[in-house]
Amino acid sequence: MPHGYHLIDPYLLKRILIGIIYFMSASVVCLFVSVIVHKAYTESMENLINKIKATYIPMISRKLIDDSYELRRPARKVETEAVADILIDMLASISGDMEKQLKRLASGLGIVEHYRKMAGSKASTRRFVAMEKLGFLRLPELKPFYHEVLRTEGNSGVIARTVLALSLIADSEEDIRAINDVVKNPLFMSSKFTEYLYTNVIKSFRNHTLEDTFVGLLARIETAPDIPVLVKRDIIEACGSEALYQARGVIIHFFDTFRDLPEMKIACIRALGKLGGEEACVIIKSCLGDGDWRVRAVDAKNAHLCPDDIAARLAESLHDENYYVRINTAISLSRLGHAGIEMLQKASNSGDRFTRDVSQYILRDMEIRA
Amino acid sequence: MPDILNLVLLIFQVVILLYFILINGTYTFFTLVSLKDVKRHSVMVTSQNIKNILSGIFYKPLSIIVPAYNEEATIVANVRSLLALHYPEFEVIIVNDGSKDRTLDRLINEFRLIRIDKPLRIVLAHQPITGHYLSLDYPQLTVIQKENGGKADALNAGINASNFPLFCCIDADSLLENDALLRASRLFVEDREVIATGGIVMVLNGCRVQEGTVTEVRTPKKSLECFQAVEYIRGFLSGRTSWNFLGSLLIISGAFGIFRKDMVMAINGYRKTVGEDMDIVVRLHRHCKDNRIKYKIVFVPDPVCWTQVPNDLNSLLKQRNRWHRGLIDCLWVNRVMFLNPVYGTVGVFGYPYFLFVEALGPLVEFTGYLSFIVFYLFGVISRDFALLFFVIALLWGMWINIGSILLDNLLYRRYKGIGDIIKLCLYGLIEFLGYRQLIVMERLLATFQFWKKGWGKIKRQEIPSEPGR
Repeated sequence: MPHGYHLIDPYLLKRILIGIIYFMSASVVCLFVSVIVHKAYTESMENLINKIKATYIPMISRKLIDDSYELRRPARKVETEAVADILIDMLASISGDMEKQLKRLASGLGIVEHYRKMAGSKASTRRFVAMEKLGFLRLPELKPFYHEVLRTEGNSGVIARTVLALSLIADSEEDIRAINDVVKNPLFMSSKFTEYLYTNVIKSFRNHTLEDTFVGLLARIETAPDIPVLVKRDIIEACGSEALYQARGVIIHFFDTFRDLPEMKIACIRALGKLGGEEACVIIKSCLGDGDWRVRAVDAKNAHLCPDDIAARLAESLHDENYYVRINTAISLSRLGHAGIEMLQKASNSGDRFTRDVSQYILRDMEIRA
Repeated sequence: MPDILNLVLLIFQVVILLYFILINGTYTFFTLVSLKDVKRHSVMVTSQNIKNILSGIFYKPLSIIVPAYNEEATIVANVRSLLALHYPEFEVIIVNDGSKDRTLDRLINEFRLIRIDKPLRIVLAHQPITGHYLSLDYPQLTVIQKENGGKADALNAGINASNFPLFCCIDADSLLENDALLRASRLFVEDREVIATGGIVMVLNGCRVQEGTVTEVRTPKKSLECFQAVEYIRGFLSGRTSWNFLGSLLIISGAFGIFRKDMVMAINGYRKTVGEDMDIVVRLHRHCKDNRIKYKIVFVPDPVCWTQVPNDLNSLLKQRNRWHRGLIDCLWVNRVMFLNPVYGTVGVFGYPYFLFVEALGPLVEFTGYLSFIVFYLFGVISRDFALLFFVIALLWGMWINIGSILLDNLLYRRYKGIGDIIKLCLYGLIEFLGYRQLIVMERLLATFQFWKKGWGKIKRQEIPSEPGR
């Protein structure tokens, strides 16, 4: 400190600084020891979990073959969670009777009980993990529990996991209504998430051979005033992703009802493109000259699904003002067979530079890929 | 007169002391804040959650853009690592920015590239493209050859050539962990407001690499690289996680970031500057706030990008000089945000922090060191006080470093061996004895060279990749 001015008595300052040094030295040593001890602890825990898994995997596999085999119920938390992970991983790749057996095991070994208890925790991260694990187990008997959670839960992350869990076992109008109540909030997650939920819903309905019931519900959703159009669009996208052929008629109806909305038109064209059929071609042909370039681009991408008489009409789209429409058109032409390739060869000598470039590029690309 | 001089000296010392407390206090606060946030994140992102993305439709396709300039030493390992990534739908676009070495030749030979003239939609301006190549073996690989225009220019060319709604920019001397893309892009489909995400960047030097994938994480051998390993852990895990928590993340590392293409196109892509990674993020904040767009720019602490850090002092100093010039340039161009409440926490907290602590930090820190010596030599401060203060500064720095290593170890346990952890801690303890001052000096120099646009030639090392078993 300068000799003339002192903000604090130098002796006292010195004592304070020494005190701080003692405190910081002790705290650095503590941190250092914590790092080492924690490292040793986590590595031993990891080994323990691996050991538990190595013990349980053959036991569970044996149980799947021999139902009379007595499987020891996990006693500790770490064991329960390790066994839950094994069951979840197995469930992801097993179906039929073995799937049912694994689900029974999840209840019998106390895993469901463990995570249901965890779902009542005050900490949202614990509730989140619990709902996620329960969801991956795909247990239909948990449906009332999920509905209850959706009615009472306030945390958006936990709600998302719960609605996802419900989507994996959905098979009724009540389930669809509960899911829609969540996804209709415009700030909830994303369109992709809604689409994902509905691909799960469709799979679940399909597993119960309830496709027609789902299509009936879809037809009702079309006119439901409380469901936003963008959610309806995401459901249509999911129908396409899951190749739900039974929904073709309803999708065409959606297209007619929402023909003023480019987003819905795009979703319908995409879905119909995946489902195919003559009706899809009628719509694809009608949209090649749409006023919105995004509709034209998606339409051009799916045009190769139509009979090759569309080639002449597509050749006009090669002159479109939009880059994406031109390139998608050229790709479709290349997939149309002889008629399309002929059109591309003709266009590769066009006076229109953009048409010429794109045609030459696609022809060259075909040559390379061949 | 001596009274006035004494008063001035006292004020000067108090300013330096307050600054010292501000910097170390901020880092301490960051370490504590990060602990909570990173813990929450690591609990919530389970491996099943990630696997689920791979098997479903719950993703958005993305384009990986790799600007490359004289990268013949690392480019093949880098591309191999990218092609091996776990992601349902992606393309890799290498933009060879007028390299003078054999970067293009190595790519052509290794990946059987064929030249093709693909028409591109030029939305963002860049130097002319002189060649476009496709791979016969990997349909998702494209190489663009263009005239040299710098990293920002190359990224703009890559964006124009990309086909997907998201793009990921990564450096040619970096490797991504197999599921890094899944982890970083997950947020784009879980939250409609996310427009950019960045992952953690860690030091590749010393790690074992097999066929472009890091198979064993080890601490580097050289001291210079070990100091940087500690710096990266501290900077990414504590620093960025905390800014993320405060909603004011101003940097997504140029080594690994994912962006929504439409948003980047809306701000005319990357601006030609040496700090293009910070610049793009700051301009995205500015654009969204100006246009009242709801948005989130997020740091995700678990997707890891492994990057080679300079292993010679000259390259390291050049890199730090460039980073600092980039920082100053970015802050200057976006000065309208300074303490401007229109820009929310970014304008009120983020920007002033980066200005006072990061940009002007070296100047204040150097003045502090200098005055400390001068005052001591002239007897203005007592030897005891000088020594005590020095020890406190040293201990506080050590606390922050060891705290960050503990944080990393608490959550990720990337370094498996206890020996590696002890080594990192030891370098964390001695970082403040010389290394930090060296970096401060270079950044100080950069402060007075802020108008320079050059990148400086950095020596590249080949990524030592072993064949897979």
